Amino acid sequence: MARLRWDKIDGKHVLLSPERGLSLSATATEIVQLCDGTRTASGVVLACIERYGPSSDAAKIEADVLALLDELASRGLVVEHAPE
Amino acid sequence: MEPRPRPYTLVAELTYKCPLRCGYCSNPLNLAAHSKELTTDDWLRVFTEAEALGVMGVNLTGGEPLLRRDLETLVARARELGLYTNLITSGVPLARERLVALKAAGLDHVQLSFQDSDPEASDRMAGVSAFDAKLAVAAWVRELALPLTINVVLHADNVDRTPEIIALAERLHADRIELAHTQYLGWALENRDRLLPTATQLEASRSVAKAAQERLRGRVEVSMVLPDYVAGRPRPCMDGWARRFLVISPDGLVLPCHAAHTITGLTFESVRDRPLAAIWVASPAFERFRGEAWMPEPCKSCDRRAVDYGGCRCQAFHLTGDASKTDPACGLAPDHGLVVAALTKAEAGATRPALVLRGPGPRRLQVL
Repeated sequence: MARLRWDKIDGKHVLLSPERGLSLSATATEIVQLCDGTRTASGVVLACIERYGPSSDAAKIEADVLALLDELASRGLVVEHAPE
Repeated sequence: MEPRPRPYTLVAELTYKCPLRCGYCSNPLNLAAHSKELTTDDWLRVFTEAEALGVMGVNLTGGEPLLRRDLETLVARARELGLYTNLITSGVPLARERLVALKAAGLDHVQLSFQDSDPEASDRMAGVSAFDAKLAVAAWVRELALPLTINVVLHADNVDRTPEIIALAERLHADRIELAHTQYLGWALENRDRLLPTATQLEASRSVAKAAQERLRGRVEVSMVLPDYVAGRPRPCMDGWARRFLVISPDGLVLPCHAAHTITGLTFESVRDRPLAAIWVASPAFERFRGEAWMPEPCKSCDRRAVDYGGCRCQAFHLTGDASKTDPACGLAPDHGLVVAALTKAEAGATRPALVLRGPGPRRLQVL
């Protein structure tokens, strides 16, 4: 239902859906881009941990990513589907 | 001070023509006065200009946008520009092949209206037999994996069926259910004494919607637009006059909302005459109610003035004759008595007048 678009005026990505646009931070944009239909929620978490390197706080990343995914899912902007 | 306003959403009213004749329609009463529709090239240019101004989504609406034979072309350009394209439709007339073509052109989302969960009542409000066609359209939308919102306008005649309406939308596998209590403008204002629900009806529908929101959370989004008449606070109409939305009428008038051209004394400009950006920035009619400088008391000193922007200018005009007054829906408005009187009449349970279905020219009466 939702689609990501660059907003050239505000210099941010926006997640567009029928009734609203959700302005995303750079980090949130990266997380949304990882939801490409191939990864599970834990797959997205793992990809983020890899991206931020071994010195990152894995537990904090996991909590933050899952919180964002929950928020997006509750608004219907990210959906889970069965593997094809 | 707010940043300079920029439009986020273009509401493209492609035509006022519609096979349906719903008595709650928000289109203006003098439909015929706007029958000289923009051409395909006009709309393509408008989309390009709107995107350059900052618009990120377009609602293709009407009337019935499917009546425009160039809809596929318009969708394709909108998508090319990266706009989120939302088709707001009655579903009539639509063949499956055309929906396939619209999807191929890049359509992002379909918002399909039903008038009721009961087929006969739905067709009665629509003035035509359309219910079964809508069921078919909903099924095609799902087959084609397009996101689907089912929209139902609520009023005294259907509000008691809110549970059945939600069940219908669930059965059709909607992603979103939009339960929109009637806003009393256009044809709906003509029919207000027929359509305004009682407080008891309203409260029942509200609690049903709330329960459905909880039950369906994370699967189906249920939204309910409450009527401002009973809320005691005006709705933030269009998120503020000329602040986030651009509406373009079928004949090319650039408007801050769907009904602004029904306010006499304001002159709206056409995309045929002037670039969209110039109209957005400098049109006197856009400047007239932008921001807070125009506000009378009690708005001017109200701590909610940046929340509801003084409410709906069209409603102020149609109820009081003066668009610069506080929206009478507001409990603090000097003219709130007008709204209270209408509500009192609805509560009294007197015989409701017949519904006036929308139509061109002289209004036709039909007893329902």
